[in-house]
Amino acid sequence: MSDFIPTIGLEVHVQLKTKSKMFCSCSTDFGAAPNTNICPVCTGQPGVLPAKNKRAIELAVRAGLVLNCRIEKYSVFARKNYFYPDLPKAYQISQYELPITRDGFVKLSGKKIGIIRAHLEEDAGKLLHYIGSVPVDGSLVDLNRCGVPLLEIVSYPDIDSPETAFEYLKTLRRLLRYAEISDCDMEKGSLRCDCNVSVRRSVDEPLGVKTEIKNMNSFREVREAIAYEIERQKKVLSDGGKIYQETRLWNGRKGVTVEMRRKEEAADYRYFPEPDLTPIFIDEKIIEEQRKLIPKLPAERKEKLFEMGLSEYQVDVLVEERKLCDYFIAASENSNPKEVANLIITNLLGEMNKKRLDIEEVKLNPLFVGELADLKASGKISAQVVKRIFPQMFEKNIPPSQLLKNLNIVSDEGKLEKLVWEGISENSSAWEDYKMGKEKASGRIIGWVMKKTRGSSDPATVKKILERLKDEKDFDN
Amino acid sequence: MDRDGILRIAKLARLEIEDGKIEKFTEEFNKILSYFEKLGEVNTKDISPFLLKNENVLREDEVIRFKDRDRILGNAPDRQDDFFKVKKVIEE
Amino acid sequence: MKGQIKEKIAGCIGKIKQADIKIHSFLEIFEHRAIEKAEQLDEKVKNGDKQGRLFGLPVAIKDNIVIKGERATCGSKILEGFISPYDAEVVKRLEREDAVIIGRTNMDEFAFGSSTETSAWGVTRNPVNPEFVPGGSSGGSAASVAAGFVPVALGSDTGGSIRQPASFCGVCGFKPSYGAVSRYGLVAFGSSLDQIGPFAGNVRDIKKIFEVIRGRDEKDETSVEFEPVYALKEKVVCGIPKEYLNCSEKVKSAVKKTIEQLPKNFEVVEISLPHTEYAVGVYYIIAPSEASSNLARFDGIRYGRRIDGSDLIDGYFKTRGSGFGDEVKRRIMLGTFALSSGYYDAYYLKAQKVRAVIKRDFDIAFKKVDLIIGPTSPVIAFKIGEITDPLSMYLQDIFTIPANLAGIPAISIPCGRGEMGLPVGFQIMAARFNDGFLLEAAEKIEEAISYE
Repeated sequence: MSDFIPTIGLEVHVQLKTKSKMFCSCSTDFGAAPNTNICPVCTGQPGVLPAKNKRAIELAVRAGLVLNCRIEKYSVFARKNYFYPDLPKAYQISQYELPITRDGFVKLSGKKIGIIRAHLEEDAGKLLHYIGSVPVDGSLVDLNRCGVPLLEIVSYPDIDSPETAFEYLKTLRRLLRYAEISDCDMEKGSLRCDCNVSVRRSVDEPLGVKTEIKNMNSFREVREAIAYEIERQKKVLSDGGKIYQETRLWNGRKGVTVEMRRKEEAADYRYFPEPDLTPIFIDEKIIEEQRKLIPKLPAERKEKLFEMGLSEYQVDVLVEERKLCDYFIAASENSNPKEVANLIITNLLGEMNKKRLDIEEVKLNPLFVGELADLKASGKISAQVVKRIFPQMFEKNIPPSQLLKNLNIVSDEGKLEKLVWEGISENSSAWEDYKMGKEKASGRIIGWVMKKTRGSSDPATVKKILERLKDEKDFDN
Repeated sequence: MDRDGILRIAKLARLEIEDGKIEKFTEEFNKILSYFEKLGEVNTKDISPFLLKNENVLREDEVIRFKDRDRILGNAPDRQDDFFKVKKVIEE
Repeated sequence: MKGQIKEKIAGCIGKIKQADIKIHSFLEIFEHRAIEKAEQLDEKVKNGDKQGRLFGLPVAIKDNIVIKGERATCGSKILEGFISPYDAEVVKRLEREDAVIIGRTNMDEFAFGSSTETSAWGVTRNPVNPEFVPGGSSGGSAASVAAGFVPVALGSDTGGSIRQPASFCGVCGFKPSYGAVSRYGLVAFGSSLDQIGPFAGNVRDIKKIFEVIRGRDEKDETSVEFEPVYALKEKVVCGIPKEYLNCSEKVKSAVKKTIEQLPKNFEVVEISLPHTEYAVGVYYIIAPSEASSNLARFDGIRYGRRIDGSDLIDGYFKTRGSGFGDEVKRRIMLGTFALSSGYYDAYYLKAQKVRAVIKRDFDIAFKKVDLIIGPTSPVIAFKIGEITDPLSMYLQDIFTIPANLAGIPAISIPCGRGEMGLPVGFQIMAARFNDGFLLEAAEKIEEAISYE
């Protein structure tokens, strides 16, 4: 098969973080009982009118800034007309000729991906064909989602591989989450991605015929679907076949894209300016307000974290979620950053995972994590002690010093060594055995120390002292 | 505009037109369209399209629950539980 | 003992029941609702509670303005069985001021027409002479006032649908400035043209209703808050556009007589609105375009008539094909065509530009004059079934359409009689949001003129 160059463009829909819908005051809550978040407006009753949500407009402006787009001073909504049971008005209010933002880019590690435009629109409802696993003899319409505000972000076809598409999506999601524009949760439908894919034999050729792929449920699936589609197109062309402009559905179970419909007769959406809505006017004041609300973005934070001496892995994990990164920065303010990073990645994320909590729900004061990191870094406590006390710290938001005092943890190695010497003289035979290389024999001495301290000493530390003493002894001999 | 054109438009608008009426529709349609040609006489070179209201009108992002959703569902010609029901949407 | 209001309302309903058989201005009388409201009002009287500005006033509502818990069909079979889950803003405002809503009135299907003949529920007859049309599309509302059933009624006006029937029936009909009254709950026809307005026997009652229904509504972005100034200037300059004199002889002579009788401080000058001849063309592109989109929601899924087909798509065709009448289909198709790819620029966009030119004509005119006056319609009421050609029907609206295109207020008041005693209407227009001035002037003109 001769070489082909793929060209990929992505259309990403993200749900804007608003309480109410784009054009009415219904809730945008996910997972409500069918047709409960509905009103005359979003169900397209005769006589209703839309009224635009201020917050959605502001978030679109903020997104424009994050995506390095030009924010248009003047933009308008338009009606996109088509019939479908999930579209009650039989038109979707969207933006067409005059979108709110355009001409931006997203910076990836190696390159920039251009953004053609990011525009506002309303979501459609949902069609169900099953109740549970029972098929319905028809289709059911749930309009809870209908009218939820979306931002459609259209990239230039600057993407040349499934991996770059994957990185673009991850970067885009991170940006939008940082700026609290969208949750970008594919499972909850707050991020959807359609891909336009084409291939050609050389850059001198015009772009090949593109197909649009839909129905991917994760970034991983997007990557797989694009990879599959590139290979499929290559094969068709190599075999002398033809690529048709069509929409293809990704079948995740089979790992293939399947033809959905051919766009022989292009859909005629009869766009025209929405007469029920006034234009959107964006002035410097609105832009500045939104600019102020944008936190330091991942790229800048990454740099800072590297400067603090963190590993690439640590940086990647910490930068992924803004709140987690904020937590890290707070915790490491006066403490050892590497140790803090360790504690957060291993212990904090571990506890969060166990309890199924988000970082926003964590009660533990980041300064306590800093304190713990310093205790650990200075060798005052061991990893085992950390492991033992962290869950309690996490649950009750108690500083480690207090916890150690409460537990009467003997963390002073000098004090502990004295106790170990006592243990050795009380268990001399075990000591001899241990010195002879019987590892198990140490247990009796450790057990004695534990008993003596009523469990408040750290067995690992005791073991460490024991080992040291053994080596010292050997040295003496 | 010929018969096919009329049928294409009717299809776009999801309207069934009785066979017997297509001729009449086509004839009237063409009469009206030729009347529209008059607009070509008006020079609109530097004219922006008409606009009625030129100011930002925005609604605060607040949730107000609509209490009469049963009245909305009550109008449905076909329903299953709290869903509107339609003939099977063919999985295209 | 019967309360006073209840007695009055029961009397009003009784009269309609008995006499509306010949006219068919009402599609439904909300007897239960009206009597219940009347009883509440009597209770208010008994308790000495504060009374609203329209206390006990019977009002009829056009069938395209929705009322929670009541039917609304827009004169169409496609809305058969629909019961509105919410109130139109104007309905809320009327009821808040203690008006009593009596019933819903007949109209051309989806307000597409100038004669009320296209209603799916039968024609309405002109109370002046039942062989003639009452005009349209708000023919039912105009007739209900003309017949003396109710003192006031609401209609809607997209291209003359209040003023022309007011003129045909010999009552007053007012289309406010675009944005003066909330459209929320008015089933949309041409969204950038539609406006709700009142019918009444005199201008004073028109003012009273307008004061209650006007004002900004958060649910309608295009609505505007403004304070109408009900005052006249010392000298009022009226412009009569020379393009508006192309009308029937009887209409022309009635309008001339009216001009001669204008109050002393009214000065009349001839003006020109040079792009008047394009107004009908512009209107019949923009209104159907918007309508084609507005009426797409009638798909039989959430409300109204549904005819199942062989599959989902076929169901759309059957439902819409059988639910809409021919005139509605014709306009939906015109609009669909004007917006379709390849034709948008030549039709819709061009029309919006010519609309801007027409508006500019008015802007220039209102620099010189305070009011623009002339006939409401080039003709008086015609016989039922007399006009069958759509284009001839469209050309009826030549003098009323420009006000909708420019978004300005306009009123029709009776000014004389033509053949067979059929009324002639006199139209007065003012600059946008000069509604108060316009109504004040209309009242003065109404006082000044007399005719046989």
